[in-house]
Amino acid sequence: MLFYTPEFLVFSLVLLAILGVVHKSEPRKLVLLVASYIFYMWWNPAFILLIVFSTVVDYFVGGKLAAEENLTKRRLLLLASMVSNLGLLFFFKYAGLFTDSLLGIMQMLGYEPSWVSLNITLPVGISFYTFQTMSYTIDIYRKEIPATKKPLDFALFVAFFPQLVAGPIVRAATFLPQLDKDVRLSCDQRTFFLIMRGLAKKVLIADNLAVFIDPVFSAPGDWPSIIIWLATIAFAIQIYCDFSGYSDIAIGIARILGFTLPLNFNHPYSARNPSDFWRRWHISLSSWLRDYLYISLGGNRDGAIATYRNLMLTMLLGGLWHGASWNFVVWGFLHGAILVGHRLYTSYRRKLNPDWRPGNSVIGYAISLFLMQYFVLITWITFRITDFADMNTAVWKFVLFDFNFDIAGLGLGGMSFFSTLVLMGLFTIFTVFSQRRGHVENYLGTLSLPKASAVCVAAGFTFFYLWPLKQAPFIYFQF
Amino acid sequence: MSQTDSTNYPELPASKILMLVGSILLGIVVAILLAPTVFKAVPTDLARTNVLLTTLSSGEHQPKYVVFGNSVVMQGIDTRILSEYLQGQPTGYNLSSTGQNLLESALYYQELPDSVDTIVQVVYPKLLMAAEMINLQKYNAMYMFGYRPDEETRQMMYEVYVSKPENLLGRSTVDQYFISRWAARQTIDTAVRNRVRSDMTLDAARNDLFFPSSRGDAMTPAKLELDLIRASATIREKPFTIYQSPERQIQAMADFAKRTGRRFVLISSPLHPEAQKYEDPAFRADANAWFKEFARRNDILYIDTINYLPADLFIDGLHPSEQGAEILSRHIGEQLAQGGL
Repeated sequence: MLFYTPEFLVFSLVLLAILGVVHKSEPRKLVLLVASYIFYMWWNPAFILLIVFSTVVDYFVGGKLAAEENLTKRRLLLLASMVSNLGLLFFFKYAGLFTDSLLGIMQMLGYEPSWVSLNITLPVGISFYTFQTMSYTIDIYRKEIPATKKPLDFALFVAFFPQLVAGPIVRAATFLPQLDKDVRLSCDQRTFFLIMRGLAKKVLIADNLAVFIDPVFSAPGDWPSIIIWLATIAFAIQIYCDFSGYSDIAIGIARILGFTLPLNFNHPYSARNPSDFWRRWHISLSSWLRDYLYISLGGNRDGAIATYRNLMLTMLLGGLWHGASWNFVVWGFLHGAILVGHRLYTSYRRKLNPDWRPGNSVIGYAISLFLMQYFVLITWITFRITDFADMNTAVWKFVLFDFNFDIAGLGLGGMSFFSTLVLMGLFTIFTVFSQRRGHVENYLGTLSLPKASAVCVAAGFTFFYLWPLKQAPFIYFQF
Repeated sequence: MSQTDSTNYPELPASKILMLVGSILLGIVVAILLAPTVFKAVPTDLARTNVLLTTLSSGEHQPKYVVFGNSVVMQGIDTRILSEYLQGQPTGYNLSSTGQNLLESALYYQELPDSVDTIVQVVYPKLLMAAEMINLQKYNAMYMFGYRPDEETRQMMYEVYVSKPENLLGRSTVDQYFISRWAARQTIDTAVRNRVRSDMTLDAARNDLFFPSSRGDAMTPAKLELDLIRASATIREKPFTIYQSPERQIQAMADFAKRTGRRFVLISSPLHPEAQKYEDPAFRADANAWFKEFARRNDILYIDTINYLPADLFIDGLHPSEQGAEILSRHIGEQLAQGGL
C-alpha cells in the first residue's frame, strides 16, 4: 500500500476512526499492530510470516540475552539472531545475485552448470526491518538497553507501518519507551504540512523528473555530456525527493499517531565533505552502519590502516545493503574511497599543523562544496545504472566533458526537457529557502486558518495539474 | 523536520483538519472544473489537433482532398504544389500532425466534410510492423478539443484492435479531465522551446493547412547517425512482416472511403537512404510489395516514395528538407494527376 493511493487514504481514515474510540493503551497498540500487518499484507500476504518470524526470534533471543551472564552463551544467542536475520536477508535479497554471478564466472571459464538462476521475489522492506530487529538484539547484548517484556510492544516496534517498508530505521532505545507512554492522536498544522511536503517531493518532483532521467540513463552513449550532467543532477534530486519525501510522510503519520521518528535527511547536498554527507543522507542507516558495523569491526581503535579498512568494509556492505546488484557495491566502494581519502587528507593537514581546521571562507566553502557534490553526482551514476558498460560510458561522459552544447534536434522535446529544468530550478529555490529560513512546513505551520486553507486550495490545484500520468513506486521500496 | 525548531505549533482540532483537507479537495474540484478551459488555453505540442478538428467541423472549409500522415508529411508535402498538378487546381489540405499514426488518421475520417472526394493516406512503412493504438495522451487531446467517436468509428476501433480501445473509449468525462493534466507540464516545455528553438517555425506547424512544416536546421553527421539509429530502432534488421492490426486498419480506411463514395489513395512515405544499413536488406522491397498488392486488391491508387529522396534532401533521419518537400510534392502531384485526380 503506497502512501499516495486512495486505498491508503481509506486505510488511514478507518484506522483514525478506530483509534478515536479505543482509548486504552494496550488495545490501541493492538489496533496499530493489526493495522501495520494489514498495511504490509496489502502487497503480499505471505511475506508477513517473515516479519512474524523475525519478531518471534528476536523477542525470545532478546529476553534470553538479558537474563544470561555467561559470555559464550550470550555470543551464541547473538549469533542465532544474526544468522536468522541475515540468513533471511541473504536468501531473499542476495541469493539470486550470488548464484547468477557464480553462473557467469563458471560460464566464462567454460563450464555449463546444470542449475539455473534463482528468481526470488524480494519482500518489501526486508532490509529495513531486519536491521531494526538486529539493532535490538545487539543493544541488549551490549547491555545498552533492557529486553522488553511486552511482546506486543516488540511486535509493534518491528512492524510499525509508517516506517516499515522504507524507514527511517528506528532503534528500540528510542521507540520502545514511547510505547510506555499513553499513545494518543494529535496533529498540529506543521505536521499536516510536513506530510504535504513529503507528498509534493515524491509526486510533483521525483516522479516528474523520471520522465527525463530514464531515457537518458537507458542509453547514455546517445547523449552529449551536458545531457548526462543534467540527468545526473536530476537523478540526485529525484532520489532525494523520493526517499526524503517518504521519510517526511512517515514521520508526519507517526506524529499523528503519537510517535516520534528520527530525522532521516538534513540538506545532504550542502555537505562539504564525505563525513558531513553521511551525517545528512539517510541518517538512520548511516548511524546504524556506524554503530553496529563500523564500531563492531573495531572502528578507529586499532590504528590508521585498520580504520581505513573498517571504513571501506562498512561502505561496501552499506552499498550492498541497497540492492542485489554489483553497481551498489561500486557505489559503496566509491563512498568508502572518498571517506578514506578525506581522512588521509585531514590527518596530513593536522600533521603539518595540529590546530588545522577546514576554512570557513566563502571561496573555501564553495570549493569544498563543489568537490563533494561533484563526487556525489558521480556516485549517483553508479547507483542508477546497473549495466557496467553503460555506467562506464556515463561516468566518462560526466568526467571528460565534451563541450557539445548543440542539443537541438536530439528528441528532448518528448522527454519534457524544459519542464525538467524548471522543476530542478524550483527544487533549488526551495532548498536554498529552507536552508536559510527553515523548512517550509515550519512557516506554513504558523499561518492562520484562512491562509492555511488558501495554501491547501492552491496545493490541491497544483497536485491535480502536476500529478504525473505514470506513477512510480518509491525507489527505496526495492531495497 | 528541524530538531532545533522550538516554535509551539498549536494542535489542530478535527474540525480544522477537515477544513484543511476540504480545502485541498476544493482545489482539486476547481482544477477539474477548469480543466476543459485550461486545456484549450495553454500551448501544447498537440495544439494542432484542435486546428484539425476545428477545420473539419466548422463548415467554413471545403477542401476537395485531404492528406493524412505523420510529421514526415507535415515536413514533406505541400498541398498547394500538389494542387498545381491536379485538374481544376482543387483546394487540398495537409491534415497531418506529429506522430499521427493510422488510427489517429482514421479517427478524423468521420469529421470529413462532404466536399472531400479524395482521402490521401500517407503510411510510414515501419508502422506496418507495429500494433499501434493511438496513445492515451493524444486521444485525450482529441477528446478535450471536443472529438467524440461516432458509433461507426467505435465499431471500427473494436474490429481492428479487438479489446484495446476500451482503455480509451471506456473512460468517463471526469476521467478524461483527470488525464488532461499532462497538458500543464507540456505547456512549460512548449513555451520554453518556442523561445529557444529559433530555427523552428512552430506557429506554421500548428496552424498551416497546406504545408505545416516546422523547418529545423539540418543535423550534423554525428547527430544524424544517432537519429537514424533511433528512427530504425523498432524494426532494426527485422524482416518485413505486416501485423494484423495495421493491415485491418488500412483496410477499414479504404472501406470507409469506398462506403462514403470517396477515392482512397495510399502513399508510402520516403525513408532516409542511409537508414537502410540498420534495416533488413529486403525491408523496403517487401514493404513496397505489400503496398502494391494491397492497392491491387482494393483497386486503389498507390504511390511509392520509399526510396524517392536522396540523403541530401533530408534535414535529419526522418524529415525532408524544404527542397526535398518541393521535389516530393511535385512527384506526388504528378502521380496523382496521372492517376486521374
